[in-house]
Amino acid sequence: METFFDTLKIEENICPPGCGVCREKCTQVQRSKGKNGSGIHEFHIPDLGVHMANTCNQCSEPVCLDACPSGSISKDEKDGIVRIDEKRCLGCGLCNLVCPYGGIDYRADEKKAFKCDLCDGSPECVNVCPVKGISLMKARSIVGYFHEDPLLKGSSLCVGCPAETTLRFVLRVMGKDTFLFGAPGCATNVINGQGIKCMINIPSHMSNMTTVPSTMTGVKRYYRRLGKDVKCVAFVGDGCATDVGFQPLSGAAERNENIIFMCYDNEGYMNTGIQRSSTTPYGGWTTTTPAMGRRKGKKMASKNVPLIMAAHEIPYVATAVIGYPEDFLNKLLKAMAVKDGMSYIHILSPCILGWGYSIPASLEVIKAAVETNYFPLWEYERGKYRITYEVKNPKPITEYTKLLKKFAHLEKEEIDELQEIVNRRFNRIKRLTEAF
Amino acid sequence: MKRKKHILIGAGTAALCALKQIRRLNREDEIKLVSMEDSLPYSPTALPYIISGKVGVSDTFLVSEGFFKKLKVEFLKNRKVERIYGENKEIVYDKGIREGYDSLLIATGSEPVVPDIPGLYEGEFLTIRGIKDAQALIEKVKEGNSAIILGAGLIGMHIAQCLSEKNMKVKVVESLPSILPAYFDKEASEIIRGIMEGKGIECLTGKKATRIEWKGGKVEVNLSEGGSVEGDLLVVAVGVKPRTEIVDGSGIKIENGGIAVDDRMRTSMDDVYAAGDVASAKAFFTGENGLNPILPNAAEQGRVAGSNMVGVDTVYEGWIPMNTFSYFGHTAISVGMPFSSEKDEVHVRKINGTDTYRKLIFREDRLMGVTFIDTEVNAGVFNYLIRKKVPVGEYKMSLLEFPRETSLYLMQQAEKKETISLEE
Ligand SMILES: Cc1cc2nc3c(=O)[nH]c(=O)nc-3n(C[C@H](O)[C@H](O)[C@H](O)COP(=O)(O)OP(=O)(O)OC[C@H]3O[C@@H](n4cnc5c(N)ncnc54)[C@H](O)[C@@H]3O)c2cc1C
Ligand code: SF4
Ligand code: SF4
Repeated sequence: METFFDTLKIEENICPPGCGVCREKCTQVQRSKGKNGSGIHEFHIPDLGVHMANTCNQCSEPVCLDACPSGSISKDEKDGIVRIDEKRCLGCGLCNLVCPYGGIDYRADEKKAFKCDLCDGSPECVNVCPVKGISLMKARSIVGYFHEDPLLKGSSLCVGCPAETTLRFVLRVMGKDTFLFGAPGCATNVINGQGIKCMINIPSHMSNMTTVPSTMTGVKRYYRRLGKDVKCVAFVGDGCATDVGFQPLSGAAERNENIIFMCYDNEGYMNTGIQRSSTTPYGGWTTTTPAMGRRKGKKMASKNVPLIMAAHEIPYVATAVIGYPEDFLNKLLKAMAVKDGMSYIHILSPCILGWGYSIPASLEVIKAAVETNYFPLWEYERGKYRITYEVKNPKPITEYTKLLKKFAHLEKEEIDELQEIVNRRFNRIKRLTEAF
Repeated sequence: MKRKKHILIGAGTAALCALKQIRRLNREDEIKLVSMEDSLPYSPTALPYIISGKVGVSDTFLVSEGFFKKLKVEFLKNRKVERIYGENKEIVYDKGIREGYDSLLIATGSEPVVPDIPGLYEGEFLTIRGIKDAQALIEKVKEGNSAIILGAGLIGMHIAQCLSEKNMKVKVVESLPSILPAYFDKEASEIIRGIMEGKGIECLTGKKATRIEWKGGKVEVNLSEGGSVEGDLLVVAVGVKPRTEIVDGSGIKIENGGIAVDDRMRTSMDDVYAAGDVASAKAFFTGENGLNPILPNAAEQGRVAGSNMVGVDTVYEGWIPMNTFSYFGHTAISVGMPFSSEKDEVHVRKINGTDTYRKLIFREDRLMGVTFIDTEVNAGVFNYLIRKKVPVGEYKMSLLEFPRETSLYLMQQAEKKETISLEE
């Protein structure tokens, strides 16, 4: 039983002062259903610069439901909406007393509790918010594609590493008939275990860094001869994909083998001691590109591997990050649909240890990389380039670099240079989307 | 893995929450829920609303028959558990039938305290704990008649309100100097009393019932300060105590009158857990065990017990006192410590010409307790701020002036921080 459901997401503190359009709309919608109240509220504290809105989270395990003494609150099994049965509600206020998120209004004068019912699935507040601050997060659209989790408990990647989440996500979408390929690298720990037990529930094979694409080629062709449609998927680091194993990768692309090749790019050789790789960015610290005195990290820009892969004119190339799962999902589905050639997905995967940030910030780092256009999300599909996630107002690169110790030594000059590289690369992709 | 058998005694909020938690985490194990009553599970909290006629009994059942089928739970009604033999992992039902278990939850709730007042048992007084009690009281309700209620706690005052709404003359006798003494300070309680008395409910505080006399269908309660009150019916609501008789002789440790549990809801007997009103569990503020018989605690303790019963190690953070009381269109809310100590910083706000009253208790940077009368808030958010020890330093005044807005803002900020910097 999956317990993922849609929920409203409200951007933090971005309401225009005085605005209450969402509440007005909700009140109107509720009135048309014969109810009195609003499931969303705006809050303004001008002195503190607070202008925000709040609503129910439609929790997967709602504490309001557990505390209701008349069984009036239910969570719908199909749409996940937490509803109050008005006819049964006693007006005791206990739900208001226990909900930690302010999801329930309690009105003593009417002796009733009131909460958001998500307009039964298509909330109207989303459409009226003048700053587009409210959105419906469609968890189901992702979860609906999930198969059983093939990663077993106790994987030995570093705590909080997004590579594990990413691999799990990829494999849950891939589902049955998937053959996973790896090479020496962090993810080896997940795939092979550390000499104790295997931590994956599907067939897998570990090659040398230089032989992944050729091994995949052989396995894929073998299955095809047997008449079986088996997805051959590689999940390797940038060391393998972009440095040591780059020639065979390019070869497989040129031969247009029907394999799905994914690189989780943590911009260096992380589990061998954080050495630089060809995707280490300009200015980035590694143990072999130190920051001491006049040395300011890596002197050259990173190799733009996804663009090089697109230049092979294989059917599908994309960049993706786990922080934008809808986008990622679409790309996986497209890659899986390709039956006449190769797909390549390049994934930015921050390394807690090697990049220098605190464990829970992985998503924040990933989002900043995208929102600054450091790592634009795009795809190349049979000759056409497309930006799949347009950043409305790209943030300056410092919003990204400030999060990471590997950039801590950069001064204005290097920051400007890095910004320049980011702009140049983004414009190139942008022009490609316009040209093709 | 071997299928385990969990038996849950009691069909109140604590047992149901444990049941749901067990099923969430384990689809295979056998679950049996035992209730000594013959109805579907309900909560005693709903009884006043049944008495006032707002809802019918069947509108307050917490779950339907279908619920048990869907979750593959056996629901045994009308069955009282008499004894527990922990060494043999067995329980004994009425009529001597025995049954084995792998893990056992005691969630038998509490029962009314009946004080030792001379003459009390010579007539038919009422207490309110089960559906039958509510029905018995409804039988006796008669417009124009008068009712005496012993005890001005939340249950007593709620019943007082119900009866007054039924146009009965109501007198409440309380030995302590104010009404709702456990949850509200003198000032707040005076405000509530003002409204109650305005509706004709007489509150005789600071007076003990010394003797009860029954004559000709009437009841007379003699008071400690001299004088007496007379009525047509008598409701005793001076408090509750854990219903622990089933552990008598079992060796399971009792403390504070309840079943002692550790922070996993485990009793002193292996594989026997307790939750809800019956348990003497860890208090959030002091870390010491104690009783706090309120519904939100029963729910939380049930969830924690359920997790641990299926081997998912879960720690109980401790209970926080909290309550909400609605009376004649007004609301009084208390979350956290109702009374301040010398170490605390207290801020009070009243609004002239209204019954609004706000009191916030801080200890250094932390919120310790709030009282709100006629103030629209999302009360649970204050519980969040207290429980998560959210630093509120610079927001103290804002919390007083704009309690709802500020608390939501602090909660949202804290939630965001929680996702970003768990580590530090
Ligand atoms: C009138 C009234 C009003 C209340 N109002 C509020 C309120 O506003 N807010 C609040 O927070 N709390 C309130 N409470 C308290 C709240 O109802 C309790 O805290 C809560 O019900 C405790 O849940 P529980 O599961 O521990 O016990 P209960 O809900 O009491 O359930 C225990 C169950 O165990 C069964 N049982 C007992 N012994 C045995 C046995 N030997 N064998 C089989 N079955 C057995 C009983 O029949 C009962 O169904 C109120 C209580 C009352 C009586
Ligand atoms: S009201 Fe509160 S507890 Fe209930 S589902 Fe909404 S956010 Fe969760
Ligand atoms: S106010 Fe209504 S919905 Fe909320 S807990 Fe009470 S009875 Fe249930």
